[in-house]
Amino acid sequence: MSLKENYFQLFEVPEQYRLDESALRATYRELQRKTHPDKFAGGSEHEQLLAVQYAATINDAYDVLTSPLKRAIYMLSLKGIDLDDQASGTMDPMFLMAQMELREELEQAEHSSDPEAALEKVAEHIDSEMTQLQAAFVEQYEKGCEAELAAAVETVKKMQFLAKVQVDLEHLEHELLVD
Amino acid sequence: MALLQLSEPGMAPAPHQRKLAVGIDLGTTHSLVATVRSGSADVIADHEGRKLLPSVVHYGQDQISVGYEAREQAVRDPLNTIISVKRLMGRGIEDVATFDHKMPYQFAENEGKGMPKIDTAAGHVSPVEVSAEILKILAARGREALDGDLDGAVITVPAYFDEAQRQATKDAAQVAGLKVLRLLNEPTAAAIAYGLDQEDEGVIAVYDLGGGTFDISILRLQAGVFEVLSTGGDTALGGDDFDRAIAEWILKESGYTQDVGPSLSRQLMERARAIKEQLSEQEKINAIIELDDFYWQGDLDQHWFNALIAPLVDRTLKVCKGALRDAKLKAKDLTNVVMVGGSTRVPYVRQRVGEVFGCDPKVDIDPDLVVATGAALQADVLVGNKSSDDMLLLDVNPLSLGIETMGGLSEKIIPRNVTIPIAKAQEFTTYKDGQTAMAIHVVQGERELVADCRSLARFELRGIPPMVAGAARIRVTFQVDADGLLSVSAKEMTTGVESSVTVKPSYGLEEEQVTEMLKESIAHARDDVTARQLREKQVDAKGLLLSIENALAEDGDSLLSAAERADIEAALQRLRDVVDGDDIHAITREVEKAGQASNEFAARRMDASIKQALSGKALDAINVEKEG
Repeated sequence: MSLKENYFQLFEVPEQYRLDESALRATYRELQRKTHPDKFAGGSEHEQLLAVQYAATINDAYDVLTSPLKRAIYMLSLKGIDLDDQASGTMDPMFLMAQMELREELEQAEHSSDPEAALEKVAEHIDSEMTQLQAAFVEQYEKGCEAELAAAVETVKKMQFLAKVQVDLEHLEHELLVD
Repeated sequence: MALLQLSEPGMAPAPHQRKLAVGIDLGTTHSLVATVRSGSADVIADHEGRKLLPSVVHYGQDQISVGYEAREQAVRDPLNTIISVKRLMGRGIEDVATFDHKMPYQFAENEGKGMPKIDTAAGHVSPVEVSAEILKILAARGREALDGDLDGAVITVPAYFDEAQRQATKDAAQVAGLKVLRLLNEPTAAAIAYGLDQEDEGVIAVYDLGGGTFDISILRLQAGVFEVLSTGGDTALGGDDFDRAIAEWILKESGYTQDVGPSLSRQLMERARAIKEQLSEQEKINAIIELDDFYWQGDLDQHWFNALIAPLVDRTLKVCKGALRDAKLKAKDLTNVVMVGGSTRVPYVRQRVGEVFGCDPKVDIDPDLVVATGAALQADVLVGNKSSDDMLLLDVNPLSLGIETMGGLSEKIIPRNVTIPIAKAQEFTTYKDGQTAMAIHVVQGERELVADCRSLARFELRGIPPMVAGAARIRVTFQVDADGLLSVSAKEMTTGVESSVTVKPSYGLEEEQVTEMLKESIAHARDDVTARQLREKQVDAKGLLLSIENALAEDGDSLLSAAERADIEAALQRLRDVVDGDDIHAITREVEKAGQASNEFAARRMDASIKQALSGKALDAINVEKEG
């Protein structure tokens, strides 16, 4: 076991998209118990630096493995696909249309009589689309042939789109709280 | 199995091996020091039995006084009596100019940039040095109570302190001659004090309203793990602002038309504080204020007071709602709400917090003492007196860290509320042929424009191998350690050349300045600087020897070849040969070599320990299945 291994191996979980979150969480705590810099407060400078490096890697691994989008991007990278290097091909026009509608929904929610409830509805909408994309990703990734992986890349790009809407939504929710 | 455990879990070290450690709450209005003795954490009182030390430093021409003595000078000599210095920590002179309320001090001219220096009868002093004076008194209190030199201290900071404010606090400790085991977030410290006492499980909110800062943290407590889910706050909002609201209201009512000088202003603030305290105990009072040529009298009641501070309390509650949202929780998910900080004595604050979270806030532990108590418990673990298997703190980065990109925008590298330590890498390239240097501006904050974020530091990368524009791939790694402090390293990926990173903190001190202050401070105490440095070096070296010896005894056979082991043993012997001598350079050199010789061993032990953690877990799972 070492930091050179991939995040799935580090957490000793199968290299697949669907993961048992409570098991991940238990492993995460055990790993942190062993590597957290608090355990090395009396150690040499090198040991302290080592602990920071290990604990930071474990934190990042946990973050990636528990985030639907980051996990998908990471799994593609294990297949040698860097999402940033992918040519920005034309997006599925149906999907783009749906995105525009979602954005509109968001804007209307902001100005509606009960913005909080309206935003909640948009959030549910995003969640359900995200769930569908995840299911598609699992299927495409598992088939694993070139064409399916190319489709998986498109799916992840769509997830990224949705994630951006989600960020904007959270931003709006935050502003509502502050005003 | 911990790498550096000095004793087995559950076994207390023999009394003579006990290390001396304290927890320090360095507050805006007052500070405290606590320690663990005979298993329980207690705040250490002064000779008069007073637990709180007012965070006030008076600079006279010949002497510096701290605490109650200094506070007595506040009205007579306001310009030389520094109060609420915490508000200045890690701030720039241009920040001070934008504070809502003017501070009475004279600031020395330093081109309007960098760290402010206060002009006092004893010369120019920086906020770091003022805080160091407070820390010195607390450290002395700890040494006296424990009867020996301190091995280390945990110092608490508001969770919402940014990097510059944290670094300033650590610098102050260094100037005071304290070894900082950890900077601990105040709400997290409070959670430890509550959690360990009561073995709570569940999700708790810690509402911490001190004299000058406000924090809210949401934590999950489970089996000794304190996991911060989100944090929020305002480092310029506290009980002082309640006092100010009262003072300003009275001033307006009084129709006083002359200029309010620093002395009258201080006196009014003190009377306002007394009124706040009285109205926290009784429904209404009759206040008579007679100061120099100032006179006002009138009836004041809680209703009036509540209305006056409502906007301030509202501000804290908005932050609370934001923190809940960030933790992806609703108020009903909370098991408990813990109140921390003297300002939570105000009944209106308790009432409003109770309404927002839908439960009665917990006030079992004195809100003034709880943070120092938690810090002492953590210090006891970190210094090795108590097994760290019992407790693990997972804290978060309070504010996003980003870098300046084209157009003055901030690109977030490390988002807020991620668990620390954390490291993220970013790749940059050159834009000119043969470019060998590059500047990076690091900022902290949530806003999109760099101008709206806080500037933390400017890094200059040098030694990039000359290539055509765009060919170099410089990987810059930003790392936030468990103290919430940032470090940066850089590497050119195509050639593997490490670039050197020069840091120019925007408001902090350079390493040499801290050393210089430390020297001055020791010189002031008429201590022998060299002797003290030698002593510290020897203690560190012996600690290193002990830890590697223990590690060899535990894992030397299984993880090292005979030759590898011999190399390490040889390095240790060379260190042993010089450790009791007085050649500080030889000790430093051999410490470094012993460290290098054992680096690979340390990494293997870490890997082995991870492996063991995972196999141990697998065994547990099997056992559970069998039992089920």
